[in-house]
Amino acid sequence: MNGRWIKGLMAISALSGFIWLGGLGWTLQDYFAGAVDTPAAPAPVEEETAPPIPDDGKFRVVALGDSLTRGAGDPDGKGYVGYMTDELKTKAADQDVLVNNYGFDGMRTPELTSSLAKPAVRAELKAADVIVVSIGGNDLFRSGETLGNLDPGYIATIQEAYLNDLDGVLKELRTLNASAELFLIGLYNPFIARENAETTTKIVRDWNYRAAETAADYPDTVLVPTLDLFQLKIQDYLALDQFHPNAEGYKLIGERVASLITWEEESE
Amino acid sequence: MINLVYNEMVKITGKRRLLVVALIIAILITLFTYAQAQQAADNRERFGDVDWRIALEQRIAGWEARLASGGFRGDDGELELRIAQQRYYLDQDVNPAEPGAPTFVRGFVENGISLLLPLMMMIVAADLVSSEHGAGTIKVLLTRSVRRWRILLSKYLALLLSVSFIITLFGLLAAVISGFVFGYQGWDAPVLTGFSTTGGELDTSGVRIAPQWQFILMELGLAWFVSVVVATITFMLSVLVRTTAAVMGIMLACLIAGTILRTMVSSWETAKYLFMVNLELIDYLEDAAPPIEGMSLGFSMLVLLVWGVIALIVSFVSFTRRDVY
Repeated sequence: MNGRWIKGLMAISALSGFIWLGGLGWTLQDYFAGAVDTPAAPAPVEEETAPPIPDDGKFRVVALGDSLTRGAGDPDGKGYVGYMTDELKTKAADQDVLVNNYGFDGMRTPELTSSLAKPAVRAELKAADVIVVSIGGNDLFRSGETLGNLDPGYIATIQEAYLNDLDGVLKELRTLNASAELFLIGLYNPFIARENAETTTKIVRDWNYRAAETAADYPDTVLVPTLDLFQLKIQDYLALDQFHPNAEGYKLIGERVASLITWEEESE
Repeated sequence: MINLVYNEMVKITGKRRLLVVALIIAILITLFTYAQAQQAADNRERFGDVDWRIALEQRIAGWEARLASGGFRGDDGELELRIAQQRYYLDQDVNPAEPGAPTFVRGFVENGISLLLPLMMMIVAADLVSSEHGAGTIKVLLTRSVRRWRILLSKYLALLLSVSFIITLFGLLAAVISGFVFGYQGWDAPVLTGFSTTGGELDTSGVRIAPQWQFILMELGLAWFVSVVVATITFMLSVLVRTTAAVMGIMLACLIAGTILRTMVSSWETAKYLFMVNLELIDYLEDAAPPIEGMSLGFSMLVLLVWGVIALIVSFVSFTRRDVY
């Protein structure tokens, strides 16, 4: 009786031995041959120029920029772009509003420059009625790194680089689309309730001022301030990460931008 | 020959080695399952009000925006695969933070391959030959008309059978026990594999998606290979050293040294030829950097294979030539 049990065990063991040997063989085959039959050549590059988008009477908004545009910190993920759109839709119910959001978390200005080279983005920008851009927060704060180095010389260096890149971005945007209203979202100071608040707020204020000066060189380009919105009751408007706005904070920004958008199309 | 192997299997089961191994594995799996269930509950409590679907959709939307705007610093192909991977969870309505038994098995094999599984192999292999010395039965065994190498081969084959059985047991117990708590869904969840390192940088050009059941099978295949090599080396020690305690001590020292070395050796390059540094084969399938530059799956398997073959040769030569008195 005991003997049959052990023989059964041996049979199962032998069988599983072959299974695992098979698994090993599959791994080797997959590891060494698998890499070969994936296409070595990169996927065909997108056509160099996307077809132009016809004017179909829709009100087109293109949003570019960092996590604020993306909506990080908002449980619903709408971000200021979402609340701005909500507001626009209630303002003019008969108008089709079309939003293209190209924002992603962590975007810095050089990355914005390179994303402006994408044909699809360029086509959308050319057809846009309104362009909103939130950029600079990551250039300045660098995931909080800058807080450890508030030396004016250092800030001046990154600020110069930023302004230079920003100028390039605005120039490119205006080349693509000379008529759209362009809103540049100013920075707020998420660290206003922490130590060195005076220094950080001064840096942000100065940053916004210089950005506004750069924007002033271009027509219909508006720097929308947000520093004041978050100045007094910061804790009510920040998300759990203590950096991004929460839904309420995004609503404030979205409503402010929406209030600046005028409806010339309607009167036509 | 098969009778000799059978005889050895009777000895192994008679010593209740496999039962001990099964019990250890079962208890550990229960512990880890409990720990992971606790962690999941903890996470639910902390992020309870956030719907994981919305969070996941946001993450996918973020990645897609990154693809669309071209600001991604890495490889577009990898990002597309990651999007496809996350979409699976949405489509199947599976919370990626609370996956089922297959994901548990995958993680458990991954973590067990370098220490837990080799220890289990050691329990079986350590006294295969040395206990014959201890009990004095070696003379009885060798005075029979069977040639010595056949006796040793039968022992080795019985060991291979036991190793295979333990791997099966490991996979089965992990799946069954964790499934009680987590459910049995997710066998075809996509897993990213095919990463490689070139010049110290992670190369994602060969990345592709494998269904989870295939990945687990591949993992267990690698675990089996590692276990066979460790068992073979223990087997050699069991031939060379006559007390089981010494065999266990040496093997334990090697294995533990291996776990320490893996985290420390990046500057000591020749350490990559030691078998215990090469045990974490599964890492090569995933996006983990190798402990020492220049190590790859092929390299590690070759090192292990050489160690295993040499150990086997040493065992046979020593066992057939040695005087027993």
